[in-house]
Amino acid sequence: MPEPILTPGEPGDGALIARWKAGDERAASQLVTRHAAAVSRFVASLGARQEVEEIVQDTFVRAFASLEGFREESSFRTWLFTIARNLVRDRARSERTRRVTVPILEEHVATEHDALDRVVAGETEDRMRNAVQRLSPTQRAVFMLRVTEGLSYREIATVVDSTEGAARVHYHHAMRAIKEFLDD
Amino acid sequence: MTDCPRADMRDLLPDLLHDTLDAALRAEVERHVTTCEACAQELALLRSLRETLSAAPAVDVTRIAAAVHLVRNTAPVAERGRGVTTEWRHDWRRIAAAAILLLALGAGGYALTRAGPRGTIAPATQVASRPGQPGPPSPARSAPASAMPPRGAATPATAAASSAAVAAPSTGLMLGAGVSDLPTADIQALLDAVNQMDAIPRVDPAPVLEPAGEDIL
Repeated sequence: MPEPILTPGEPGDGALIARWKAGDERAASQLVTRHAAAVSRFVASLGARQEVEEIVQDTFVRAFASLEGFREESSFRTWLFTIARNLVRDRARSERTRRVTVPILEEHVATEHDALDRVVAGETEDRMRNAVQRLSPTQRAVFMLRVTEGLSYREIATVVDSTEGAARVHYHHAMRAIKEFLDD
Repeated sequence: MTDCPRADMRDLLPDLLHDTLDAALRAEVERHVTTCEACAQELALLRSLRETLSAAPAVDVTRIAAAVHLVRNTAPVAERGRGVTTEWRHDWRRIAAAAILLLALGAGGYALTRAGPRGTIAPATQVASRPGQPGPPSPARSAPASAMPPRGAATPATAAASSAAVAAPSTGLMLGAGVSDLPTADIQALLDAVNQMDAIPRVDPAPVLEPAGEDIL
């Protein structure tokens, strides 16, 4: 996946992780600053609108707490997405157990105005957002990772715990559904 | 909106959008897009979707970074501090118990050296004797063998000392009664009492790593 655009001389994720392991706490701040928005966007796209900041924080805390076990087989951002998705999924399961309505459920439609909705305005943009939010959770996750984050199918498969081929199918189904919704 | 029959090209449109293709592949996809109306429309749609969906809910990055630092600074230190201080405290208890036991044994031994055969303090003149002169006969020497009590039988004096120790084991050694005069059970009781003493000062090392006021137990 493409790394965030770095200014000349700015260290990459791998270098910052090495510095963090060596005791440089500023490296963690840089990594959080670099990836927080993407993780926040992804968490919001999964439907956890009310708990975005909490989940994002948990994601980073867990990531850094287990950084010794990070093999760098995927990018740091992909790893963060994987942790974030697992957290959202665990919370959704927990909420379902308590029989509380969870925004991540597929039948939930985007009729409420929330922080994300207020960021953008306009009928066309609202329709695009609605089209994405009508996707199934897995389709939406795959589509967001592919289109807004630029992950490869292989990386997406890692995040959603699936196969590369399945990720590709989910993406094309999502694209078709969005086109059909916008054509109506 | 129609789909292009070239699925391989459609597959690469998000990569073209994010500029992650190598130069050759990028040129090929761009050539296709310029000649394919469906892919051009899909690329435009993807660009709009990316823009629309790129807004992220605001999060407090400073707070998140602080939480990450907190995890690093507290958990390992707490674990390390807990282990060190607990281990030290346990060692200290053992050392203190051993010291008290040694003191008790030493006091008992001293009392035995000062005590006479029947529990009376022997005068120094009776302990010391000049060379070449026979000292005062000890009861053991002077008593006939037949008068010696059988092994294990208590003389009146030792029986009294033993009964006193049994009656008040917590008082420990009494003047005139040595540790050797105590039955095994009482010695064990004494050792158990020493081991269970709560009054042993809990002196931890000065540079405690736990935050002040936190219970490290």
